[in-house]
Amino acid sequence: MRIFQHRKRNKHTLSLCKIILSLKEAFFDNQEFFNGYQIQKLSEFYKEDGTPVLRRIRIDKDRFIEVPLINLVNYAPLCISEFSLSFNIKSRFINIKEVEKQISQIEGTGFDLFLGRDKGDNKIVSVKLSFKR
Amino acid sequence: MISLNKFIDSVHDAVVSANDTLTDSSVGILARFFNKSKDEDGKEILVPEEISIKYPHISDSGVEYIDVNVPLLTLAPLTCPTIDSVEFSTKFLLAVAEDQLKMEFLKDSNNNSESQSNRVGNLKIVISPQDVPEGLKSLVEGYERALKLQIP
Repeated sequence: MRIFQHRKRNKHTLSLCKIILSLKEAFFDNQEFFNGYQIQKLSEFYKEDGTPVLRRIRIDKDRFIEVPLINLVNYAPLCISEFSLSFNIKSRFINIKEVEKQISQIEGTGFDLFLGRDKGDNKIVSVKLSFKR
Repeated sequence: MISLNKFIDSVHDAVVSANDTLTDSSVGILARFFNKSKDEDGKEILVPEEISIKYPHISDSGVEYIDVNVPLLTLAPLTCPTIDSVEFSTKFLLAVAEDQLKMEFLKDSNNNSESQSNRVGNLKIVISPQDVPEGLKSLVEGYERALKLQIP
């Protein structure tokens, strides 16, 4: 099931299967990156021994309170909540059975695959691979 | 050409850096409204900046004015800017190199032959705040309860 061919060198081909895999990989790599970032961010609020980083604040003449830094910042982690990749392919390059297999593999992971006919040219199929958290 | 992975990570990284800058700005509030000082043990403390206001008080001898020290923090409107959502979309040429899906950006978006090629793909990425993990949320709430008990 070949979809794209490099115009100059025909040896470079990519299947729909590979595109789905690439997108899944990109997404899961990004999740790892995000998890690493979260842990690194927490190290700004906690010391190595697990005690929170504190700010000692005077509240009146003789009294002080120690406030964890994490309570003083507006911490809202940002992550990819949605992404989609859409493109057109020629229908002769689609193997329905393989596509069905791909769909069954991505079911339940938040990924969705949509295939639709192009209104102008029924030999062209529009593909939309999306993810929503 | 850039790999899809690297491109997605770059976009995410840029947004996260922008968010970090906003988070730092909430730490910056401390610098604006508190002065650094040392206690008797030499530990660093933050002392709120205050202004003294004469406040009227009715006593047996008439109206008297007493000095009230007001922390500046309580007089200034506090805003904590946050990123609600970032939506990024781009058109690119799908390409293959080293058996990997790569993105090649269109040199000229008005170039019809290039933008109508069936190698053209559209990518949309939406980045939005995620709920703070339950464990961290519980910790922060615990600290807040302890704080409230200490503040008169």
